[in-house]
Amino acid sequence: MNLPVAHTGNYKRIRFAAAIVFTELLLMMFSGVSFSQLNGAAFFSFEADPLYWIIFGLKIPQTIIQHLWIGVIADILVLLLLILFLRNPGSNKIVWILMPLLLILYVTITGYLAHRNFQAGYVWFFFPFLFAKTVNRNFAYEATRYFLLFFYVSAAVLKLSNNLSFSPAHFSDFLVNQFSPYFLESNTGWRTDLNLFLIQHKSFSGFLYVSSIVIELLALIGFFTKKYDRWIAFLLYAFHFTNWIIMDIAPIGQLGFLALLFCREQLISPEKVKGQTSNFSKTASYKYVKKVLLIQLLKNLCRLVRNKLKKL
Amino acid sequence: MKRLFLYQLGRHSRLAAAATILFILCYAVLYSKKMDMALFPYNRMFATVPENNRSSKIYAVKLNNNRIGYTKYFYWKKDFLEQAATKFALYWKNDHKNFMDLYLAQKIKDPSNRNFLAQRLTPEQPILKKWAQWYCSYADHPSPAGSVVSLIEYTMNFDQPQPYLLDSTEITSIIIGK
Repeated sequence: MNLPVAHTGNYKRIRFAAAIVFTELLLMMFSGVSFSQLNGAAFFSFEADPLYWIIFGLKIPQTIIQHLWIGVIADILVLLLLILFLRNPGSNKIVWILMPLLLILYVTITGYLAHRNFQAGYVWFFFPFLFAKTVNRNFAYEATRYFLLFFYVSAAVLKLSNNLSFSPAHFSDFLVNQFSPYFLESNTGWRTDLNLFLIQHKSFSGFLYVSSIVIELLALIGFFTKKYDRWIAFLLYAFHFTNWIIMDIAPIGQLGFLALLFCREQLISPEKVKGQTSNFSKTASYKYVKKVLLIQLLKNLCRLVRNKLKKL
Repeated sequence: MKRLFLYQLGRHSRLAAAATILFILCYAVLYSKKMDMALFPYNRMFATVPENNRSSKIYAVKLNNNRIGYTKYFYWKKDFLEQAATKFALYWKNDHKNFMDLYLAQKIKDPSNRNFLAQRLTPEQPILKKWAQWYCSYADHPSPAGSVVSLIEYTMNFDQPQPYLLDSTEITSIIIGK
Protein backbone atom coordinates (compact mmCIF):
# COMPACT_ATOMS: atom_id res chain seq x y z
CA MET A 1 0.00 0.00 0.00
CA ASN A 2 1.21 3.50 -0.72
CA LEU A 3 1.93 5.36 2.47
CA PRO A 4 0.74 8.85 3.32
CA VAL A 5 2.95 11.78 2.44
CA ALA A 6 4.62 12.02 5.84
CA HIS A 7 5.93 8.46 5.55
CA THR A 8 7.20 8.56 2.02
CA GLY A 9 9.81 11.18 2.74
CA ASN A 10 8.07 13.90 0.72
CA TYR A 11 9.12 16.67 3.07
CA LYS A 12 9.20 19.52 0.56
CA ARG A 13 7.53 22.15 2.75
CA ILE A 14 9.23 20.97 5.93
CA ARG A 15 12.56 21.22 4.13
CA PHE A 16 11.66 24.70 2.96
CA ALA A 17 10.76 25.78 6.51
CA ALA A 18 13.96 24.17 7.83
CA ALA A 19 15.91 25.99 5.10
CA ILE A 20 14.49 29.26 6.48
CA VAL A 21 15.73 28.29 9.97
CA PHE A 22 19.12 27.39 8.48
CA THR A 23 19.31 30.77 6.68
CA GLU A 24 18.32 32.58 9.87
CA LEU A 25 21.13 30.90 11.79
CA LEU A 26 23.62 31.55 9.01
CA LEU A 27 22.64 35.24 9.00
CA MET A 28 23.09 35.38 12.76
CA MET A 29 26.49 33.73 12.58
CA PHE A 30 27.76 35.82 9.66
CA SER A 31 26.65 39.02 11.37
CA GLY A 32 28.78 38.10 14.39
CA VAL A 33 26.59 36.25 16.86
CA SER A 34 27.52 32.65 17.60
CA PHE A 35 29.22 30.57 20.29
CA SER A 36 32.72 31.17 18.97
CA GLN A 37 32.26 34.84 18.15
CA LEU A 38 31.22 35.67 21.70
CA ASN A 39 34.46 34.18 22.99
CA GLY A 40 35.82 36.06 25.99
CA ALA A 41 32.55 37.81 26.91
CA ALA A 42 32.51 38.33 30.66
CA PHE A 43 29.20 39.92 31.53
CA PHE A 44 25.92 38.05 31.55
CA SER A 45 22.60 38.75 33.16
CA PHE A 46 19.17 37.21 33.16
CA GLU A 47 15.98 37.40 35.15
CA ALA A 48 13.68 34.98 36.93
CA ASP A 49 13.78 32.07 34.51
CA PRO A 50 14.38 28.49 35.73
CA LEU A 51 15.63 27.45 32.29
CA TYR A 52 18.48 29.95 32.49
CA TRP A 53 19.20 29.03 36.11
CA ILE A 54 19.67 25.37 35.16
CA ILE A 55 21.80 25.95 32.06
CA PHE A 56 23.96 28.69 33.62
CA GLY A 57 23.99 26.78 36.93
CA LEU A 58 25.65 23.89 35.10
CA LYS A 59 28.16 26.45 33.72
CA ILE A 60 27.51 25.30 30.14
CA PRO A 61 27.45 28.76 28.46
CA GLN A 62 30.37 30.00 30.59
CA THR A 63 32.51 27.01 29.54
CA ILE A 64 31.67 27.37 25.85
CA ILE A 65 32.30 31.13 25.82
CA GLN A 66 35.63 30.88 27.67
CA HIS A 67 37.05 28.18 25.37
CA LEU A 68 37.26 29.19 21.73
CA TRP A 69 37.75 25.64 20.48
CA ILE A 70 34.54 24.45 22.17
CA GLY A 71 32.69 27.39 20.61
CA VAL A 72 34.03 26.60 17.14
CA ILE A 73 33.10 22.92 17.48
CA ALA A 74 29.60 23.84 18.73
CA ASP A 75 29.06 26.25 15.80
CA ILE A 76 30.19 23.67 13.26
CA LEU A 77 28.00 21.04 14.94
CA VAL A 78 24.92 23.29 14.74
CA LEU A 79 25.40 23.89 11.01
CA LEU A 80 26.30 20.28 10.28
CA LEU A 81 23.26 18.92 12.11
CA LEU A 82 21.03 21.43 10.34
CA ILE A 83 22.34 20.26 6.97
CA LEU A 84 21.74 16.65 8.01
CA PHE A 85 18.21 17.57 9.10
CA LEU A 86 17.60 19.26 5.74
CA ARG A 87 18.71 16.06 4.02
CA ASN A 88 16.56 13.87 6.21
CA PRO A 89 13.81 15.59 8.20
CA GLY A 90 12.43 12.19 9.15
CA SER A 91 15.35 11.31 11.40
CA ASN A 92 14.58 12.24 14.97
CA LYS A 93 18.05 11.21 16.18
CA ILE A 94 19.55 14.34 14.61
CA VAL A 95 16.97 16.51 16.37
CA TRP A 96 17.72 14.97 19.78
CA ILE A 97 21.19 16.56 19.52
CA LEU A 98 20.30 19.62 17.47
CA MET A 99 17.43 20.96 19.56
CA PRO A 100 19.27 20.99 22.94
CA LEU A 101 22.26 22.55 21.19
CA LEU A 102 20.08 25.31 19.74
CA LEU A 103 18.46 25.83 23.13
CA ILE A 104 21.92 26.28 24.68
CA LEU A 105 22.81 28.68 21.83
CA TYR A 106 19.67 30.69 22.52
CA VAL A 107 20.23 30.78 26.29
CA THR A 108 23.91 31.69 25.78
CA ILE A 109 23.20 34.50 23.32
CA THR A 110 20.40 36.06 25.32
CA GLY A 111 22.21 35.52 28.64
CA TYR A 112 25.31 37.36 27.42
CA LEU A 113 23.21 39.93 25.60
CA ALA A 114 21.38 40.42 28.92
CA HIS A 115 18.24 41.13 26.93
CA ARG A 116 15.65 38.79 25.46
CA ASN A 117 14.97 40.29 22.07
CA PHE A 118 16.38 37.41 20.05
CA GLN A 119 13.53 35.21 18.87
CA ALA A 120 13.41 31.62 20.15
CA GLY A 121 11.36 30.15 17.28
CA TYR A 122 14.40 28.44 15.74
CA VAL A 123 14.57 26.22 18.83
CA TRP A 124 10.87 25.33 19.15
CA PHE A 125 10.66 24.64 15.41
CA PHE A 126 12.28 21.26 16.01
CA PHE A 127 9.96 20.05 18.77
CA PRO A 128 7.66 17.95 16.52
CA PHE A 129 10.69 16.33 14.91
CA LEU A 130 11.87 14.91 18.22
CA PHE A 131 9.36 12.12 17.69
CA ALA A 132 9.94 9.22 15.33
CA LYS A 133 6.44 7.77 15.09
CA THR A 134 4.16 9.76 12.80
CA VAL A 135 1.28 9.75 15.23
CA ASN A 136 3.48 11.14 18.02
CA ARG A 137 4.90 13.69 15.64
CA ASN A 138 1.36 14.73 14.68
CA PHE A 139 0.47 15.38 18.29
CA ALA A 140 3.73 17.22 18.93
CA TYR A 141 3.10 19.35 15.86
CA GLU A 142 -0.40 20.15 17.09
CA ALA A 143 0.97 21.11 20.52
CA THR A 144 3.68 23.30 18.96
CA ARG A 145 1.12 24.97 16.74
CA TYR A 146 -1.11 25.78 19.72
CA PHE A 147 1.89 27.15 21.58
CA LEU A 148 2.82 29.37 18.63
CA LEU A 149 -0.72 30.72 18.46
CA PHE A 150 -0.83 31.18 22.23
CA PHE A 151 2.39 33.18 22.07
CA TYR A 152 0.83 35.83 19.83
CA VAL A 153 -2.60 35.80 21.47
CA SER A 154 -1.08 36.23 24.93
CA ALA A 155 0.96 39.19 23.65
CA ALA A 156 -2.32 40.85 22.68
CA VAL A 157 -3.92 39.89 26.01
CA LEU A 158 -0.97 41.42 27.89
CA LYS A 159 -1.45 44.68 26.03
CA LEU A 160 -5.21 44.70 26.52
CA SER A 161 -4.91 43.84 30.21
CA ASN A 162 -2.65 46.86 30.69
CA ASN A 163 -5.20 49.09 28.94
CA LEU A 164 -2.58 50.10 26.41
CA SER A 165 -4.88 49.91 23.43
CA PHE A 166 -6.79 52.90 24.71
CA SER A 167 -3.78 55.19 25.00
CA PRO A 168 -2.60 56.07 21.51
CA ALA A 169 0.33 58.15 22.80
CA HIS A 170 2.03 55.10 24.32
CA PHE A 171 3.34 53.71 21.08
CA SER A 172 4.80 57.08 20.18
CA ASP A 173 6.61 57.03 23.56
CA PHE A 174 7.99 53.57 22.81
CA LEU A 175 9.23 54.69 19.42
CA VAL A 176 11.35 57.44 20.98
CA ASN A 177 13.80 54.77 22.12
CA GLN A 178 13.87 52.58 19.04
CA PHE A 179 16.14 54.53 16.69
CA SER A 180 17.94 56.89 19.07
CA PRO A 181 21.42 55.30 18.51
CA TYR A 182 21.00 55.92 14.76
CA PHE A 183 20.36 59.62 15.47
CA LEU A 184 23.32 59.75 17.86
CA GLU A 185 25.60 58.35 15.17
CA SER A 186 23.93 60.43 12.41
CA ASN A 187 23.24 57.19 10.56
CA THR A 188 19.87 58.37 9.29
CA GLY A 189 17.69 57.39 6.32
CA TRP A 190 14.09 56.65 5.42
CA ARG A 191 13.51 54.45 8.47
CA THR A 192 14.63 57.17 10.88
CA ASP A 193 12.45 59.67 8.96
CA LEU A 194 9.51 57.31 9.36
CA ASN A 195 10.37 56.96 13.06
CA LEU A 196 10.27 60.74 13.51
CA PHE A 197 6.98 60.94 11.61
CA LEU A 198 5.40 58.31 13.89
CA ILE A 199 6.76 59.96 17.04
CA GLN A 200 5.19 63.24 16.00
CA HIS A 201 1.87 61.77 14.76
CA LYS A 202 0.68 60.04 17.89
CA SER A 203 -2.77 59.10 16.64
CA PHE A 204 -1.35 57.38 13.54
CA SER A 205 1.22 55.47 15.57
CA GLY A 206 -1.56 54.61 18.04
CA PHE A 207 -3.58 53.22 15.14
CA LEU A 208 -0.63 51.02 14.13
CA TYR A 209 -0.32 49.77 17.72
CA VAL A 210 -4.01 48.84 17.84
CA SER A 211 -3.62 47.12 14.43
CA SER A 212 -0.80 45.04 15.85
CA ILE A 213 -3.04 43.99 18.76
CA VAL A 214 -5.76 43.01 16.27
CA ILE A 215 -3.30 40.89 14.23
CA GLU A 216 -2.04 39.16 17.37
CA LEU A 217 -5.63 38.51 18.44
CA LEU A 218 -6.49 37.03 15.05
CA ALA A 219 -4.22 34.11 15.91
CA LEU A 220 -7.06 33.11 18.27
CA ILE A 221 -8.98 31.83 15.22
CA GLY A 222 -6.34 29.11 14.94
CA PHE A 223 -7.59 27.56 18.18
CA PHE A 224 -10.93 26.77 16.54
CA THR A 225 -10.03 25.96 12.96
CA LYS A 226 -6.96 25.13 10.92
CA LYS A 227 -8.50 26.42 7.72
CA TYR A 228 -6.93 29.86 8.02
CA ASP A 229 -3.45 28.82 9.14
CA ARG A 230 -1.68 30.24 6.11
CA TRP A 231 -3.57 33.54 6.39
CA ILE A 232 -2.62 33.78 10.05
CA ALA A 233 0.99 33.08 9.06
CA PHE A 234 0.92 35.77 6.33
CA LEU A 235 -0.53 38.32 8.78
CA LEU A 236 2.08 37.47 11.39
CA TYR A 237 4.85 37.78 8.79
CA ALA A 238 3.45 41.21 7.87
CA PHE A 239 3.36 42.10 11.58
CA HIS A 240 6.99 41.06 12.07
CA PHE A 241 8.33 42.82 8.99
CA THR A 242 6.46 46.01 9.90
CA ASN A 243 8.02 45.74 13.35
CA TRP A 244 11.44 45.49 11.72
CA ILE A 245 10.84 48.64 9.70
CA ILE A 246 9.16 50.70 12.39
CA MET A 247 10.81 49.45 15.56
CA ASP A 248 14.09 47.94 14.36
CA ILE A 249 13.19 44.54 15.84
CA ALA A 250 14.18 41.85 13.38
CA PRO A 251 12.03 38.71 13.34
CA ILE A 252 14.93 36.46 12.36
CA GLY A 253 14.69 33.34 14.44
CA GLN A 254 10.91 33.35 14.23
CA LEU A 255 10.38 33.14 10.47
CA GLY A 256 11.07 29.42 10.13
CA PHE A 257 8.89 28.71 13.16
CA LEU A 258 5.97 30.57 11.60
CA ALA A 259 6.54 28.60 8.39
CA LEU A 260 5.44 25.50 10.36
CA LEU A 261 1.91 26.78 9.82
CA PHE A 262 2.34 25.90 6.14
CA CYS A 263 3.57 22.37 6.89
CA ARG A 264 0.43 20.89 8.42
CA GLU A 265 -0.46 18.82 5.39
CA GLN A 266 2.93 17.14 5.37
CA LEU A 267 3.03 16.47 9.08
CA ILE A 268 -0.47 15.34 9.85
CA SER A 269 -1.23 11.79 8.77
CA PRO A 270 -4.61 10.06 8.77
CA GLU A 271 -3.58 7.51 11.39
CA LYS A 272 -6.30 6.69 13.81
CA VAL A 273 -5.69 7.36 17.42
CA LYS A 274 -6.22 4.01 19.16
CA GLY A 275 -9.10 3.03 16.99
CA GLN A 276 -10.80 6.38 17.22
CA THR A 277 -11.25 8.55 14.15
CA SER A 278 -9.54 11.81 14.84
CA ASN A 279 -10.25 15.17 13.32
CA PHE A 280 -7.07 14.67 11.34
CA SER A 281 -9.18 12.68 8.90
CA LYS A 282 -10.09 15.89 7.17
CA THR A 283 -6.54 16.65 6.12
CA ALA A 284 -5.15 16.59 2.61
CA SER A 285 -2.95 13.58 3.31
CA TYR A 286 -6.08 11.63 4.23
CA LYS A 287 -7.59 12.59 0.90
CA TYR A 288 -4.33 11.56 -0.74
CA VAL A 289 -4.46 8.11 0.86
CA LYS A 290 -8.10 7.73 -0.15
CA LYS A 291 -7.12 8.57 -3.71
CA VAL A 292 -4.21 6.11 -3.67
CA LEU A 293 -6.40 3.35 -2.25
CA LEU A 294 -9.06 4.01 -4.85
CA ILE A 295 -6.50 3.83 -7.66
CA GLN A 296 -5.12 0.60 -6.17
CA LEU A 297 -8.62 -0.82 -5.95
CA LEU A 298 -9.40 0.12 -9.55
CA LYS A 299 -6.10 -1.44 -10.72
CA ASN A 300 -6.88 -4.68 -8.89
CA LEU A 301 -10.37 -4.71 -10.32
CA CYS A 302 -8.96 -4.20 -13.84
CA ARG A 303 -6.45 -7.01 -13.28
CA LEU A 304 -9.22 -9.30 -12.02
CA VAL A 305 -11.43 -8.52 -15.00
CA ARG A 306 -8.47 -9.04 -17.39
CA ASN A 307 -7.66 -12.44 -15.82
CA LYS A 308 -11.27 -13.48 -16.03
CA LEU A 309 -11.40 -12.41 -19.66
CA LYS A 310 -8.24 -14.38 -20.42
CA LYS A 311 -9.72 -17.51 -18.84
CA LEU A 312 -12.80 -17.10 -20.93
CA MET B 1 -15.31 17.16 23.39
CA LYS B 2 -13.93 14.27 21.32
CA ARG B 3 -12.32 16.71 18.93
CA LEU B 4 -10.40 18.47 21.68
CA PHE B 5 -6.64 18.12 21.33
CA LEU B 6 -6.06 17.15 24.95
CA TYR B 7 -8.80 14.54 24.83
CA GLN B 8 -7.32 12.97 21.71
CA LEU B 9 -3.84 13.11 23.21
CA GLY B 10 -5.17 11.44 26.37
CA ARG B 11 -6.69 8.65 24.30
CA HIS B 12 -3.36 8.17 22.55
CA SER B 13 -1.06 8.45 25.57
CA ARG B 14 -1.97 9.33 29.13
CA LEU B 15 1.63 10.16 29.91
CA ALA B 16 1.81 12.69 27.06
CA ALA B 17 -1.47 14.25 28.15
CA ALA B 18 -0.25 14.49 31.75
CA ALA B 19 3.01 16.07 30.58
CA THR B 20 1.06 18.61 28.49
CA ILE B 21 -1.23 19.48 31.40
CA LEU B 22 1.81 19.83 33.68
CA PHE B 23 3.44 22.13 31.13
CA ILE B 24 0.30 24.28 30.89
CA LEU B 25 0.08 24.49 34.71
CA CYS B 26 3.77 25.38 35.06
CA TYR B 27 3.42 28.00 32.37
CA ALA B 28 0.34 29.46 34.08
CA VAL B 29 2.22 29.62 37.41
CA LEU B 30 5.24 31.32 35.79
CA TYR B 31 2.94 33.70 33.99
CA SER B 32 0.97 34.56 37.13
CA LYS B 33 4.25 35.24 38.95
CA LYS B 34 5.18 37.72 36.21
CA MET B 35 8.02 35.43 35.08
CA ASP B 36 7.10 36.24 31.54
CA MET B 37 10.68 35.85 30.35
CA ALA B 38 10.55 32.10 30.80
CA LEU B 39 10.55 29.64 27.91
CA PHE B 40 9.43 32.12 25.36
CA PRO B 41 10.78 35.63 25.46
CA TYR B 42 7.76 37.76 26.01
CA ASN B 43 10.11 40.61 26.72
CA ARG B 44 6.95 42.21 28.00
CA MET B 45 5.92 42.59 24.36
CA PHE B 46 5.70 46.36 24.65
CA ALA B 47 2.77 45.83 26.96
CA THR B 48 4.16 47.95 29.78
CA VAL B 49 3.27 51.59 30.18
CA PRO B 50 6.25 53.61 28.94
CA GLU B 51 7.57 56.68 30.68
CA ASN B 52 5.69 59.63 29.37
CA ASN B 53 8.61 61.67 28.19
CA ARG B 54 10.24 62.63 24.96
CA SER B 55 13.79 61.69 25.78
CA SER B 56 15.84 58.58 25.28
CA LYS B 57 18.93 57.26 27.04
CA ILE B 58 21.65 55.75 24.88
CA TYR B 59 24.76 54.01 26.16
CA ALA B 60 27.96 53.79 24.16
CA VAL B 61 31.63 53.02 24.67
CA LYS B 62 34.47 55.41 23.88
CA LEU B 63 37.94 54.10 23.12
CA ASN B 64 40.59 56.80 23.57
CA ASN B 65 37.82 59.40 23.42
CA ASN B 66 36.42 58.10 20.11
CA ARG B 67 32.92 56.70 20.30
CA ILE B 68 32.58 53.15 19.03
CA GLY B 69 29.69 53.20 16.57
CA TYR B 70 27.54 50.13 16.11
CA THR B 71 24.57 51.06 13.93
CA LYS B 72 26.61 50.32 10.81
CA TYR B 73 26.66 46.62 11.68
CA PHE B 74 24.06 44.09 10.58
CA TYR B 75 21.13 43.68 13.00
CA TRP B 76 22.42 41.13 15.52
CA LYS B 77 25.86 42.54 16.03
CA LYS B 78 24.39 46.05 16.25
CA ASP B 79 21.89 44.78 18.78
CA PHE B 80 24.54 42.97 20.77
CA LEU B 81 26.80 46.01 20.96
CA GLU B 82 23.89 48.29 21.83
CA GLN B 83 22.37 46.05 24.49
CA ALA B 84 25.71 44.93 25.96
CA ALA B 85 26.67 48.58 26.58
CA THR B 86 23.21 49.43 27.94
CA LYS B 87 22.93 46.48 30.30
CA PHE B 88 26.47 46.79 31.55
CA ALA B 89 25.94 50.51 32.21
CA LEU B 90 22.78 49.77 34.19
CA TYR B 91 24.62 47.04 36.11
CA TRP B 92 27.43 49.47 36.92
CA LYS B 93 25.03 52.21 37.98
CA ASN B 94 23.22 49.73 40.23
CA ASP B 95 26.29 49.20 42.48
CA HIS B 96 27.59 46.37 40.26
CA LYS B 97 24.51 44.28 40.89
CA ASN B 98 22.20 42.67 38.36
CA PHE B 99 18.83 41.04 38.84
CA MET B 100 20.22 37.73 40.07
CA ASP B 101 22.43 39.38 42.72
CA LEU B 102 19.38 41.05 44.22
CA TYR B 103 17.17 38.00 43.75
CA LEU B 104 19.59 35.63 45.48
CA ALA B 105 20.17 38.09 48.33
CA GLN B 106 16.44 38.32 48.85
CA LYS B 107 15.50 34.65 48.46
CA ILE B 108 18.45 32.63 49.79
CA LYS B 109 19.32 33.26 53.40
CA ASP B 110 22.07 30.68 53.84
CA PRO B 111 25.37 32.41 52.84
CA SER B 112 27.12 29.26 51.60
CA ASN B 113 24.21 28.32 49.31
CA ARG B 114 23.92 31.91 48.15
CA ASN B 115 27.63 32.08 47.29
CA PHE B 116 27.46 28.75 45.50
CA LEU B 117 24.60 29.99 43.30
CA ALA B 118 26.08 33.46 42.87
CA GLN B 119 29.28 31.93 41.48
CA ARG B 120 27.24 30.30 38.75
CA LEU B 121 24.44 32.75 38.11
CA THR B 122 26.24 36.10 38.32
CA PRO B 123 29.31 37.32 36.41
CA GLU B 124 32.75 36.74 37.84
CA GLN B 125 34.45 39.74 39.53
CA PRO B 126 36.39 41.92 38.80
CA ILE B 127 34.65 42.43 35.52
CA LEU B 128 35.25 45.97 34.21
CA LYS B 129 38.60 45.37 32.49
CA LYS B 130 37.52 42.05 30.98
CA TRP B 131 34.26 43.53 29.75
CA ALA B 132 35.91 46.64 28.29
CA GLN B 133 38.51 44.58 26.42
CA TRP B 134 35.92 42.16 25.13
CA TYR B 135 33.56 44.95 24.01
CA CYS B 136 36.29 46.76 22.06
CA SER B 137 37.56 43.62 20.38
CA TYR B 138 34.00 42.48 19.56
CA ALA B 139 33.37 45.89 17.98
CA ASP B 140 36.53 45.41 15.86
CA HIS B 141 38.43 48.09 17.80
CA PRO B 142 41.37 46.39 19.55
CA SER B 143 42.38 48.09 22.79
CA PRO B 144 46.15 47.84 23.32
CA ALA B 145 47.72 48.46 26.73
CA GLY B 146 47.35 52.07 27.79
CA SER B 147 44.03 52.60 25.97
CA VAL B 148 41.31 54.41 27.86
CA VAL B 149 37.87 52.84 27.61
CA SER B 150 34.88 54.87 28.88
CA LEU B 151 31.23 54.03 29.18
CA ILE B 152 29.03 57.02 28.39
CA GLU B 153 25.35 57.75 28.91
CA TYR B 154 23.78 60.07 26.35
CA THR B 155 20.38 61.71 26.64
CA MET B 156 18.63 62.59 23.43
CA ASN B 157 15.50 64.70 23.28
CA PHE B 158 12.67 64.28 20.82
CA ASP B 159 10.48 67.25 21.77
CA GLN B 160 11.49 69.19 18.65
CA PRO B 161 10.91 68.20 14.99
CA GLN B 162 14.52 66.96 14.91
CA PRO B 163 16.06 65.06 17.85
CA TYR B 164 19.00 66.67 19.62
CA LEU B 165 21.63 65.59 22.13
CA LEU B 166 20.81 67.05 25.53
CA ASP B 167 23.45 65.62 27.79
CA SER B 168 26.26 63.09 28.12
CA THR B 169 27.72 61.62 31.32
CA GLU B 170 30.66 59.32 31.86
CA ILE B 171 29.57 56.32 33.92
CA THR B 172 32.99 54.75 34.33
CA SER B 173 36.31 54.49 32.58
CA ILE B 174 39.35 52.25 32.77
CA ILE B 175 42.90 52.30 31.47
CA ILE B 176 43.72 48.98 29.92
CA GLY B 177 46.89 47.69 31.57
CA LYS B 178 49.46 45.25 30.25
